Amino acid sequence: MLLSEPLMRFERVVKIRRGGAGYRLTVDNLIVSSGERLALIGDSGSGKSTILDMMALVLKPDEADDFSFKPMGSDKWQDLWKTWQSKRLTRFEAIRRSSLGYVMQTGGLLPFLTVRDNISLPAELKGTIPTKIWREKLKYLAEELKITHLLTKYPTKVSVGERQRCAIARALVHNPSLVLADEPTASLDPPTAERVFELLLRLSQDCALVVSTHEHRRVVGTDFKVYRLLCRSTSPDQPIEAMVIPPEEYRFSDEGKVETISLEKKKTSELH
Amino acid sequence: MIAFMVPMLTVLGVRDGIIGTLTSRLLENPRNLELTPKGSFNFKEEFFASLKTQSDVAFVVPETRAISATMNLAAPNQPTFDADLSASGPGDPLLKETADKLGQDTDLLIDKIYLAEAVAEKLGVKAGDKVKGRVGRRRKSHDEYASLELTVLGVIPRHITPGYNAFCSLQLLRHTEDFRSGFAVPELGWEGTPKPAGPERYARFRLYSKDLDGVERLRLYLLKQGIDSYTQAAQIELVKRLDHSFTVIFVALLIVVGGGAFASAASGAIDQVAKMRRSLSVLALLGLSKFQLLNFSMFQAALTGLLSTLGAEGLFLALAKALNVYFGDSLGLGERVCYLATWKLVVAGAITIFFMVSASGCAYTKLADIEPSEGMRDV
Repeated sequence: MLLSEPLMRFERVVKIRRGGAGYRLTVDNLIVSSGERLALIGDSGSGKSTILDMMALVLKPDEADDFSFKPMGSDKWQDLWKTWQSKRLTRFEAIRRSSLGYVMQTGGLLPFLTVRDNISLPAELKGTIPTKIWREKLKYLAEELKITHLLTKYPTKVSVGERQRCAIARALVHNPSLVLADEPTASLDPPTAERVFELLLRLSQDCALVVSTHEHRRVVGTDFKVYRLLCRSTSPDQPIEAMVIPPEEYRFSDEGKVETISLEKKKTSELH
Repeated sequence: MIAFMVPMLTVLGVRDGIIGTLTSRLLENPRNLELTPKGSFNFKEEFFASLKTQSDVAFVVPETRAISATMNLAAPNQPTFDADLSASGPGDPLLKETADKLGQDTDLLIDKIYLAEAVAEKLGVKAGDKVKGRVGRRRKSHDEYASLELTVLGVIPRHITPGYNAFCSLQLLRHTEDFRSGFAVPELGWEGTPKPAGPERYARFRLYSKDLDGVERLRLYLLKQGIDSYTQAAQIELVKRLDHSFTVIFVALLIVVGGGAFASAASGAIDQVAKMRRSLSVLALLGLSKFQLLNFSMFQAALTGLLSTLGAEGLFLALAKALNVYFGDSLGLGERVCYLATWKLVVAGAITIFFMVSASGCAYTKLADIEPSEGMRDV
């Protein structure tokens, strides 16, 4: 087992959305480490995608005490918040190419490339892995995901479930250190969803995996660290406050309902 | 794009084809490059020496007064015939084609002549035959004649010399004029009064320009020296005007049609970006920069441009072939109604590709606001 090392760090990272009464999401003290499985659950609109977008370096936070990234094997933290402020976004492009992998809700495969070319693309863009090595990885992933027979086809010619398996291969082929999956099984029928999710878990063991999902039974009770997003509104004209509640601060009741352990206490102390 | 390129190439091709054909027809006949003075003058050797230094001059030969430049020619068993005698010499364009065909040069000895086709027919002679040349004069109420035997070196086709001409050495022409004036020509044993010493003077000349454009320049050069001249300017001017008209039509079409095609290509490129928005945002998410995205769409445009160029030029070549076959009856060997040089096709292709790429550059504004976050989910 690889030694777990931290990759991404959130310390009071705030995203504000205007419109209506407003919305304010605070990510307090969240660390993503290598080999870790992390799930974001919550109702739609609670901010799961917002956190994933910030992790994917495509959404700029509005405030941050610390928001940084450390590539695998390096001991130097890169200050993402400072990069956002300096607008030197080409740095993000480099991080996205080398360290991040994505599984999107509907696959997000490029329609004008074959499945094989779609999967090869991140490896070729990364450019640092010898061709022979990533080709072997591609072959391995294709076999595991049972998509070898689809490699020469175009994405529009394969089923939604198959497309999602191809997307998993594309997310993993370039050995990213952090894989982000936004509702990866939302568009699949339950049995297929089950299989795809299981494959994603099994094949992404070398990297950190962050999954957003509204189906908490898929992640609760597994080795996932489950973070729960909770929205609170004190009055209609006050902004909605969204918070990330870490696993240790809530539990599920015997009926399957969520019971917050320390939220009320915390809220109370903040109000005073 | 093809719909734009084919008509443009065709207009350009017809222009090049017709102008090329007409120009080569003009050039083919050295008469079109000819300048002769209107009236009689008194040119000295120095005049010709300085005329020869003009860069447009291909060939010039002095001629004597028209009235003294005839010679009665006779061949066995044929009626005699009075031919107009013209001087010639090395490099005479009128003689060149005939001399080349016979493998001779145009440097004439005193007893050698070339005959225009019309004269050769009257006399019933061909290259290699001998004719008797006779010059007459009236002195002290006597008719006097001098003659010599001449070898016909060649016959000049009618399309080059439609008149009744005989081309001889300048020396023979001068002797003929001298004899007519009553002087003796000891070289040929012709009697008369001794010719007074002094520089030779000539009444006329035949001048040839190197190219069509040079004709007008030489005409102006001569005019400056008070010499008005005959040229085939009207014909040359016609071709030039035709060329100009075609160019105007082409440029006008290029502006109108080209402007429209550019606008449509640009809006096509913008549509393309809109259509590919999702894919482009996925590419951005995978770590492609805006610059690379732009390159990507420009590369696509270049590829489209290349394909339409190949398609359009293929169609054009087929159309040109069809036109040339259709109008084949009115064309000579190697003449074409519609033709474009390969380099022009290459340049047209390059311009089209540049055109497509710059049109796709117009889509950059659309491209610039694509966010990689759009690639994360369906919007």
